[in-house]
Amino acid sequence: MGSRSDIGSILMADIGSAGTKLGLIDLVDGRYRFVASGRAPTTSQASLGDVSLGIREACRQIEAVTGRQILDDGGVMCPESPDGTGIDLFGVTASCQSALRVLAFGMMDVASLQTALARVNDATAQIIGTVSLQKASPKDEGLLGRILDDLGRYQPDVLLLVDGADNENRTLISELAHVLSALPAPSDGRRMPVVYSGGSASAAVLSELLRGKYDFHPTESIRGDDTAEEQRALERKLASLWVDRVATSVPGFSLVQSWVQMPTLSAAQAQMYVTRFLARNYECTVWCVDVGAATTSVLVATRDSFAPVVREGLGVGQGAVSLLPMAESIERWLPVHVTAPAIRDLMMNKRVRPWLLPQSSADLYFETALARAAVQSALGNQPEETGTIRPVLLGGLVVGSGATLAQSPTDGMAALAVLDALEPAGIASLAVDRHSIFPQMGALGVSFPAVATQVLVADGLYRLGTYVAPEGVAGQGDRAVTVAVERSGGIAVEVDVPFGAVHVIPLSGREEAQLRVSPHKRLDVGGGPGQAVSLKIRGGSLGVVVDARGRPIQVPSQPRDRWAKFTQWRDAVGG
Amino acid sequence: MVVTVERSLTGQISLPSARIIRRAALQRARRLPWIRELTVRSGDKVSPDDILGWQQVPARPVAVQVGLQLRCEPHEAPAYMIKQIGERVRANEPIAEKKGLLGLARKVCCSPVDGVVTYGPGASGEVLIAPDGRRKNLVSHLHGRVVTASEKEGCVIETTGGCVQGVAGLGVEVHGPLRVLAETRKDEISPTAIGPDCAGAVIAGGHIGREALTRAASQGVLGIVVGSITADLYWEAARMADCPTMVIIDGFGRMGMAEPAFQALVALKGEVAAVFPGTEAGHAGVPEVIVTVPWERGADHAEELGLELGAAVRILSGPYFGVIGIVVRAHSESIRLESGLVVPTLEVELSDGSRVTLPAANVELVG
Repeated sequence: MGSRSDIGSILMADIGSAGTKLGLIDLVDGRYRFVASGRAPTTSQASLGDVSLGIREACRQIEAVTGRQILDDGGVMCPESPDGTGIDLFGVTASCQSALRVLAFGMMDVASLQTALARVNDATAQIIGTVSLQKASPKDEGLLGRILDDLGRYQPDVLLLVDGADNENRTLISELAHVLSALPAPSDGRRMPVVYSGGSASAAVLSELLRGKYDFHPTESIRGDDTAEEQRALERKLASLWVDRVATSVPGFSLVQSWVQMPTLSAAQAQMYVTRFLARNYECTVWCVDVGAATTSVLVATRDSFAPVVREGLGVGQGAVSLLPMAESIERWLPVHVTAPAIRDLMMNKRVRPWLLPQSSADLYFETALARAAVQSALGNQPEETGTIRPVLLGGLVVGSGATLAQSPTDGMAALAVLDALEPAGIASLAVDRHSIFPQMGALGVSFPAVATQVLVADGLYRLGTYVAPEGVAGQGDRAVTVAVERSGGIAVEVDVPFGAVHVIPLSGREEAQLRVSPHKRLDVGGGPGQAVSLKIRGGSLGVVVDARGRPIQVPSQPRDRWAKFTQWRDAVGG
Repeated sequence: MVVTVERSLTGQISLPSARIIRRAALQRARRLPWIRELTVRSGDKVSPDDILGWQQVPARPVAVQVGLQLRCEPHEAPAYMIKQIGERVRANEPIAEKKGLLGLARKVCCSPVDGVVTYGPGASGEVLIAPDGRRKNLVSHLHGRVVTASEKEGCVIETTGGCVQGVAGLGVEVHGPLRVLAETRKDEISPTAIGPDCAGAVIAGGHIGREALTRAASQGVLGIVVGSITADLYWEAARMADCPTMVIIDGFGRMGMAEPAFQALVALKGEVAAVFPGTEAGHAGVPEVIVTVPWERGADHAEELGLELGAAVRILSGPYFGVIGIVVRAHSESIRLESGLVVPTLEVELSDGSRVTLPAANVELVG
């Protein structure tokens, strides 16, 4: 599909839990560019009950800006007419439906089962439980009872049965199938999907036993020592089941599906593709932090590795309910006194009306504080052995995504939002997904990688600049770092930044410069405590953002001191 | 440049809506996921206590370890079965029996539940029994007339009365006489106002606190309709075993109830209020309270809500949270808010004549 030469304009939609974002891509001087965007609340709530309404509203914004008609009563007009109306392709990503809850039964040990399922966890399917039946004998007294207990405890949306192709245990599989057959049908009348990864003989047995009560999906056999290809087949199967679930449970989604010409992806999955692409394209470590209404993800990619953290039910909208226990820590990031109970009221109001926009500065601070708490919660929940809880980079790229982090009213506030949320240390480029095109390009890239690459490279990253953030703590007011910026034209700037302050040295996105940072003896910018570091950097809309607040960020304990600091920090980045 | 749009805005912006209706013809679907029998037919008149139908809610099967109880090898268990697949069994009724030599040392395995044998003994010597389901009635909760009825879909009742929709709910569907225990929309329900006469009733007010909630539970109040409740008390209520059913109309905090919603409830006090928390399969979705009066033939249906100049909206953010106003202008270009965001906005006139500019996303249609 990627080689079609007759494609001109492409419309991509991302239907989120709270907002629906549209992006129009078109050929400009022979290159695909991102030319316009629209945004509207997602219209899935009961009183509207049709997500296509939000798409229509966002589309009208694009029509108003571009002067070209994209919609008619029948939906998105495809293909583009000679008079310029319509578009050639329409595609969708979605995050308005939670991930499938998958309970896996494996005829292997737990470690092998978890290895085999390593690729499954993302925003379309989450393994909520793994049950190893390796040591179970079909003759085990209580086997059926234990299986019933597991099914009752986990309440899955999807059952995954993993059997080795050469290790079939047909009696065990048959017993499991009989237990499933005995379960009452779901109240909504839907048949639960059962995905079977194993040999064809057992698949035939299962198919027969589950006929009429479950949707049976045999797929390629996976085992702990498998190559990624088999695991990808399982990943694709679960992703397609997720799309089916979205289509049947999100009002209006089936109508939108009838307009699309490419596979629908979950937004988080598409975001993963883009993060990996950025790491390969720029040959550096990329941290992409995305805070949505109901999902928070922190994705870390290098040329050769990828580590996603996707937390369903955690965010600044419906997901705010997961942050209720963190009300006290959120209060520390607000510029006015708000009690913890009042913060919990605000969170619950965000939960029931996630589409509301921050009207005042206080609303914006609150939403940013929620985003920070969501990211910290997502990182804090990681097992210690998976790595650090904050990026420590020397070079590399940190990207903020999602409306709260990436679409702040000013670039300075966007920079602070990302720095506050992720607390990255070291020196790295700082950017945001200003137009919410990452999910859209991730989905487009599946069918049209060349087009997505052109758009991402040209318009994907809105570069704020380079941040310098020393790890550690020094005394308030001590010199934290001396930062010297020498532009290619030979003009040099040298600044001492005290500990606890934020300072910006302008450097445009077209400029490169040699950066030299000499930290306080107790602070580390990547070369070790007190060690100077020098590297070549690129600018951005802000330039070099020196964040000398320490890591972890030192926030004054006294409210008035804290609020004064917030004002200073905001003023330092241009308001 | 800001331009006033002097035309219908319907279709330009899709706003969520919340119904606040004092008196109109309303239709509500009453569903059961596992309809077994619908006892009403199209055209039947119904009262709040009437049973519309019933269903058998299935229970999860239970596994009985026949081999273990008879102390035999799993593969020997089939030989000792008294009850076969498909046969009904009663609780404590033998399903398998193993007689010892000369009839001595007899061992019996009994069913723990009333139900049907569905599988076994399998390779593990276990038998699965599907317990009898729990019978659950579908109660009308409304005065009205059945306009459609089908065994598969349930039925639709047309009623006459008022309706106030909310944002959150707890508990099960109930109905009872409506008692408004507040003078104004902002008043908190006083614990002392909840007396024995509130038993079996639905009480309403601007706000409710912990003491009043506890007293309502102890006095046998069936339903509570309030404009606001604190998030902390809401979660406490969710954990209370005897908490009355609750519908929150406006939101979390102490903002009270929107004036039109409060006045609608005041106008209908004394009538039967059905409280649908939106948590049950029969009436899933928007939490709402419907106050019905005996059915009137020919009552007008409530008008569809659409965003028009002059439309009533409820403000959902900032200092005017919960206040109702009238849309007087829609800006054709996005405007920068105090927060700095640049978004489509509406100008809304409040009851005192003052005007406020708000993000279009931060209002909802009411009426």
